[in-house]
This record gives sequence, C-alpha cells and structure tokens, in this order.
Amino acid sequence: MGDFGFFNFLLTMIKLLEKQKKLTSRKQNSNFPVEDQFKLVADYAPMPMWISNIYDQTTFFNAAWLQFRGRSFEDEYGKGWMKGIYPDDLDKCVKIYEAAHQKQKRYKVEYRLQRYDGQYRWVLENGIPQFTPDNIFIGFFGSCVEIHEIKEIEHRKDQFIIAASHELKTPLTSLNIYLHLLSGNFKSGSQEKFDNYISGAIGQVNKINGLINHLLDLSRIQSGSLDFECSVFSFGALVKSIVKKMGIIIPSHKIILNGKVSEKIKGDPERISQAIENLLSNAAKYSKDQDKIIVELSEDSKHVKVSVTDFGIGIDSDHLFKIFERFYKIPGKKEETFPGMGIGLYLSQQIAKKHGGKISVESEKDKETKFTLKIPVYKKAVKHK
Amino acid sequence: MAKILVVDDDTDILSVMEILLTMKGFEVQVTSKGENTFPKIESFKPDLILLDVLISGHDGRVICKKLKSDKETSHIPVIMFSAHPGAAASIAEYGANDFIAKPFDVNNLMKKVNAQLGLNPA
Repeated sequence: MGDFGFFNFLLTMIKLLEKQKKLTSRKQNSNFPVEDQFKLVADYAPMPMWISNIYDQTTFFNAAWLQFRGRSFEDEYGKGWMKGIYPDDLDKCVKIYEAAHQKQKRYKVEYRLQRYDGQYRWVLENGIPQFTPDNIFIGFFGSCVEIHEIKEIEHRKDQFIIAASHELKTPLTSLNIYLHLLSGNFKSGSQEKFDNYISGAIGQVNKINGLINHLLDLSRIQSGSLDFECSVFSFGALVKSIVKKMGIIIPSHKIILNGKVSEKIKGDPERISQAIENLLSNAAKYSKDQDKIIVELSEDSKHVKVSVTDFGIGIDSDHLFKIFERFYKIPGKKEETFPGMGIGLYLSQQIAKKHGGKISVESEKDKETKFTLKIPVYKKAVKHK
Repeated sequence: MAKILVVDDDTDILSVMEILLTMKGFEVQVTSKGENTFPKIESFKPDLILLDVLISGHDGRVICKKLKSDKETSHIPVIMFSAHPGAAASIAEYGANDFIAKPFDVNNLMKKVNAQLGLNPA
C-alpha cells in the first residue's frame, strides 16, 4: 500500500472511529477514548501525522512525524514544529492555516519541512477539520506526504522549458540579423556579401533544426521509438572522423587523439557519433579558458572505449551521478551561466545503453573531467560443426 | 566614429553583430569570454557596451555591476541583452542603462544604441 493508499485507509479509520465515537458518547461506557485509539493507529502509519486543537496548537504528533523531524514531542508541541517550515514558505502556510481554521474547512498545502538531517523536503499536507458528535469544531487532523522527488522533477521540467527556449532564441537572434542584412543588401550589395549572409542564415536554421531534433530524440527515446540503423563498422575510424569534423566545429580547442582500436562494433554509427560529439561539445563548452581536449582510444577483449578529457571547471562529486538524468543541470552561480538544455548527456547515455554499453565519468570541481564511452566489440557468431 | 564592445558567449551572434554594427557605421570589437571584458575596455575604450546576461562561466550582471562601480568605467552606457525569460526583471539592480530581449528587432536595437550614444538615427 502506497502513502496515498494508507492515507485513504486512515480516512476510513477516522470515519469508523467517528461512528464509534457517536455510539460511545450515547452509551458513555468507553474506557478507551476514541482519540487514543486513533493515536494508536496513527503511530503505525508510515506518514507524518498530527492533531491540533481549536487554538491551532498541535497537541499530537505520530511516531513517523517525530522520526522525520528528529525532534522530541516537547520540541514540536504547540507551534514548535513551525520552526521547521522553510522561511520562504512560512507566510503561505500561516495564511492557509488561519483561513482553514476560520472556515473550519479541509485544506491542502505544499511546503518545505526540515528533516532530521537538516535538509528541507517538500511535503503535501492535508488538513481535515474534526467535530464532536454535536458538531462542535475541535481542531484539525493532518498528514504529510513527501513529494520532494515530484517537486524536483517539476522544477527540472520548468528549468528545461526555460533552457530550451533560451537555446532556440539564440540562433533565432543571429538568423534575424542575417535576414535584416539580406533585406538591406538587396538594394545595394555585393554578391559575396549576399552569399555570406545567406550561408550565415542557413547555418542558424540548421542549428535550430538540430535543437528541435534533440527535443524529438528525447521524446522518441522515452517512448522507445528512437530509430537505430545498425551495421558493423570500425570504431577507431569513426572516432577519427568525428575528431576531424569536431576540430572544424570547435576551433577554440585543439582535439588531440591518442591510442587506437582495431576491433569493430555493431551499432548505429550516426547515433554513436551523436553521443561522442556531445561529449566533445560539452568538453569545449565547460573549458572555455582552456585550449585542448584529449580523446583517447583503447580496447580489451570485450569492449572498445573512447574517453574525452577536458581541463575546465570540473564537476563536484555531489552531481556526478545525477548528470546523466533527464533535464539535470548542475546548480551553481558559475554553472548556471552555461547554455544547454540538460538533455545531451541523458541522450548520450541512452544511446550507449541501447548498444549494450555505458558512459562513465571521473571528475572533481575545478579539476579535469573525463567521460568514457564503452561499447561491446562485435563478435561474429561461430558456426558449430 | 563611436566605438561599441559586444560581449556574448555565442560566437555566431558576435560575428553577425560585428557585421551589422560595422555596417551601421560603428567601430566594433567583440569578445566571447567574460574575463576579457575589462582588458578590452582598457585597450579599446568603448563608448557603449552590449553585454549578454549569461556568458558561459560569467554572469554579465555581475560584470555590469563591477563596471558601474568603477570610476574609470561607470560612465560607459551598458545595454544588456538575453534570450533568457525573466532576464529583464533581474538586471535592474545591476546598473544597466537598458535591456533588449533576444531575438531582437534590429531597428529597435539601433534605436536603443543611438539613444545611449546620444546620436540621431541615420
């Protein structure tokens, strides 16, 4: 049973307890108050729960709440627990609580609550007003469900939309200027200038097309419909051709190719190129102050490998394993100034996995960063006599 | 001839801006590296700076604030530009003289450039 399932179960329990409350209040023979029965059940609940009184003082916290907060009942009692609300969310919460108390109505609120380890985690709180059998308001019963991961994905998606619009608007800016120059050139301009502007404009259109294809690839890989046209080919020759091509695209860096491989692989050369080109573009992007990127080829009996090393800003160890996640962009004042949609490494890793391979990374903040793509070598099926 | 320095990490934009502004009669220098802004100002002595907000490793707003708090450079008008939604709202406290969102209309850009330089539009 998930958290929401348990929440519904508890609501049913409360209703049953309320029914029982009505009965016991008639008979006046209960020796185990209904509220204590509820507290007993609540202590077994995996989600943080509480009860407040008519003065909005919280008078009960279940075991899951105290465990989540890492504080004692005495610390949390009354309004003590509110010290755990993230300062930016406090005003919103207070307004919602006050309105709910005034109207004696159910409410839902999302806020960040400090956990036992000091981390603030997004929770969704449900508050339900409680009444006596005579319909007198006696306070609220509430529960919290942790929604931190959902909020993080939501936030990443929002950031992705902003990043994607930024990426698309950038070549549009250049395209717009080229078109302006072309319109002026129609009247009095040389053929050479005209050709330059046309080629500049086409370059920007291609850039926009490439970005849109990236977005489509993201959607296709999610749905499992990304096309792969497989063939058997030399991995070494492919990497050499990529290094040559990217050397022209990235004139700011000298791409040094070391090592060699002789084994062939089976896969889609276009897609594998896409993954390696992405590693090279990233290497150049995050090492703007440097002028070299090292590409190294190696192989063993099972795999061929290509590693791309840059000497740029590096990656903090906290983010190393998240960078292959969809929409993930490393937070930080410096990091956030770099363009990109946060999908390149995700796509590259998915491409590697579709070929039975993997991309791994070694880095530290302000140190060199090395990405390694590993693909299984192609073994011809051996026919048995 | 008025001098304009363009700072943007996108080299495509720099190339085409250089062509455009030169054609409009300005003397232009460009840089794609935020850290080159101050050395360029010192050597080129621009009359106007067109400054991108996010410059791969550098925050253009921080550069702008530094420019505006330095006696030697505070007089130089700065027009910031960005394709980032919401960038306009975030630049006010950094002292930029004006802002234009990318992609911009060239005529609109020229109006802003001329206004900062106190020039009559051609």
